[in-house]
Amino acid sequence: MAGAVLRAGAWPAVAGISGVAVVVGGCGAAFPAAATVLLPICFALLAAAAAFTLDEPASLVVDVTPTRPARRTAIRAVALLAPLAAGGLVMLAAAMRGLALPWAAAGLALAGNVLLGFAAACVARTRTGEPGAAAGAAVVLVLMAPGLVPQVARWVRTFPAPGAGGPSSDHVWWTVLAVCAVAIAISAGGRRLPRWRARGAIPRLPGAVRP
Amino acid sequence: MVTASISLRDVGRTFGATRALAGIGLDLKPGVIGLLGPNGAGKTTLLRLLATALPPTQGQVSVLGLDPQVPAERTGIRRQLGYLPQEIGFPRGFTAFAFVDYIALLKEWTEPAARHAEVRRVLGLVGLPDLGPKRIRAMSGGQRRRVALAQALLGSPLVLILDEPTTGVDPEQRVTLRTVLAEIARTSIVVLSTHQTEDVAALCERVIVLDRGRIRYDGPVTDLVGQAAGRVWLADEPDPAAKVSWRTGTGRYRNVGTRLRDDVEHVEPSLEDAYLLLRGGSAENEPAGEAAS
Amino acid sequence: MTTALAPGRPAAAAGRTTLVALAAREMRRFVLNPVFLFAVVMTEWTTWTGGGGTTTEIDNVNGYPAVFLGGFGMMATYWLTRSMRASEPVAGVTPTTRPTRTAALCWVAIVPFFCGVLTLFGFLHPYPVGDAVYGPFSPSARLAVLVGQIVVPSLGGPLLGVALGRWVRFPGAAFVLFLVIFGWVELVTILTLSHQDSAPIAVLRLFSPFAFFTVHSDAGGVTAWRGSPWFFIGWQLALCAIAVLVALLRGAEGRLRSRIIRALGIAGATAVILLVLAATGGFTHAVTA
Repeated sequence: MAGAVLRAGAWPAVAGISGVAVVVGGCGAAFPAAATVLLPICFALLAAAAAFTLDEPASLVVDVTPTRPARRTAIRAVALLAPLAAGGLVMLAAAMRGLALPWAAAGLALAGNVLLGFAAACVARTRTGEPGAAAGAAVVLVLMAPGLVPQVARWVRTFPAPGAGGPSSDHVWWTVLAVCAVAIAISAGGRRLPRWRARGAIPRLPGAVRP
Repeated sequence: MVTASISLRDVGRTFGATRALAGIGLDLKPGVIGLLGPNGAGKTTLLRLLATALPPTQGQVSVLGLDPQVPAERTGIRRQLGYLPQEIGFPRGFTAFAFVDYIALLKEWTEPAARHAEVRRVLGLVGLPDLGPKRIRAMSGGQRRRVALAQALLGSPLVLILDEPTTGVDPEQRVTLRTVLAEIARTSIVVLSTHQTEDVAALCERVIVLDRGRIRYDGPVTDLVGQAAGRVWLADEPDPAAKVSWRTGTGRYRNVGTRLRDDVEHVEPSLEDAYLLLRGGSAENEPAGEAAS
Repeated sequence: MTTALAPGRPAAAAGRTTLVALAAREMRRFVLNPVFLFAVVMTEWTTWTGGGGTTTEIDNVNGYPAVFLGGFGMMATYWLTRSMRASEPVAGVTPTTRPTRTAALCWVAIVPFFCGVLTLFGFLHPYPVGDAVYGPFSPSARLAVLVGQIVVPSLGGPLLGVALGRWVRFPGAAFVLFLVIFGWVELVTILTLSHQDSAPIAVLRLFSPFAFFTVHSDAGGVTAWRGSPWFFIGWQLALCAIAVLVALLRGAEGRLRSRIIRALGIAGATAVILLVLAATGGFTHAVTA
């Protein structure tokens, strides 16, 4: 089951965007002066890659199968290993280049970015079968806001800057992680099912195996 | 005034190693021509060829006396062409009126008043006169199909190519559409592909049956039905001698066979019976493994 | 059935009339696009408020129109172009060819272009050409810098979006490209900060649809970097032409296709020449005023 559900995912999109993220992040590792600009862009791309993990072209049919949304979401979450591994690779390259970054905070930022993309996809998935493009675009714009709008940068920092004062990115990402966990739990629970399914127990066919 | 005519000479179409059409020869004049065939017979490929959406890989096609391979002539054909594909997507956020208006604009209806009047006319023809402002996304499948049909009817084209026009359309609207198409067919060529044999029987004088990319039958509907005379009968059980047998709503079995029988309760054959008889014979005689898209 | 079934056929309309009508339609759709509206609001807000900070040199503020009108405009036109893909089976067999429909989409770029022109005047109001924030550039060069940073990206970004929409099927392509370009500009700008007099770095900095030309000097004053702002505009316009031609190439046949390919060759060669001139012209080293 898990293999089949994973195989149906939008792997070209996830892999492609993760690849572009690795290139951008690699440039940040290669040119340390640009790391604090390029690594956030890399992480934003990984968030967008995570947003495509829930794409389901056959959603009209898949959504009325006995396999619950929570289970399908949990299986698809395995695909998050791809953007997380890509981000880990970039951080490793940066560390090997001698970049002085607070690595724990950077790791938290990576996890937060990826989970944010996944959470956006979970929420959007309750409305559409292929949430990747819309969720990815929304997440990218939100993550790039501190870099694009100075007023936002004064209050919100999404990437740990070495030795800098001002707001900590840790506070942002712990908050984001908590909110995302709640959003994922609610969305994956299938809260937007049609009302008639919520009224009574769903009858099982004779011989059906409980998923 | 251009006289509607379509001519195909030894036309074929391949997709890689797959031969979708082969040796197609046709002469079409104004009227409604039905196109039948099993899934994968090449019906959609043939319709796309006629609609200038696809070039042939062999042979010659002439539509309204023009060659679709020549860009300028292809544009000339498209000015007189209406096409309803089997599957059509609609741009997000469009209303029915906006979508048909958009296609009308692409068909060079540049004067807004005339264009809007034409859009209202075709929406009325398909039974959606009041649903112009409604978003297509909010429409039922049958209503969307009618919106798609409406754009094909813009300008009363001389060539109208319809791929499954009545899919999802309610019976009442289907009758209305038959009337519309019959009227258009007085001066236009209407090629209609459908799995609804009753639509072909009600509307078409001529039927073409495609199978594995080749024409199995091309002639009057009455002649095809006539081939099944004496070969359709009712029984209380499925008859082993029948090629096809199915249980009807009355509980009895309708049987269609290739051999004439005297000892059974014969019934008037329908076009569906004749088609099944033709297909059953074709399946027997054709070698297996011939590829078609 | 009483509805008339044989209306008068439309007069054989010139292709130009259809193009104008299509372009007007696409412009109306673009103007109502929420991404574009957001971009306009953000551009005007950042231009008039200076981004909320103190403007010490023009590049404090000039990046915003390029990001919003250019970058967001690119995303808006990309989605506009892709939104019509679903009806291609039907639109593709109308007399209006795909290049004509593409040309109508390209005309949409006029809207953000005019927004860019208005933004330019909006910028000139608090910072007239003689102001110290421009650094050592001559008056005409100052104007060229502004045009190249505000007006031309507002035109080029949306054109790039149309080209991308015609050729790339991946729905996330627009925001990925936006991030890549943003990242590239940041990278080459940071490299320039540490190698201000380097010719190869100057080429890299100018090899972009957008480039910064100044930086606030630590000693006070404004430092202007290598490069000719006027030839840089030429390079940007050549990129705009390439974007339009690439977009038009999709679905072009016969003589039109040959002409477009020939024009692409010319545009490409022109772009290379203008890039070289941009990198070798203007100041030959960083100058502080």
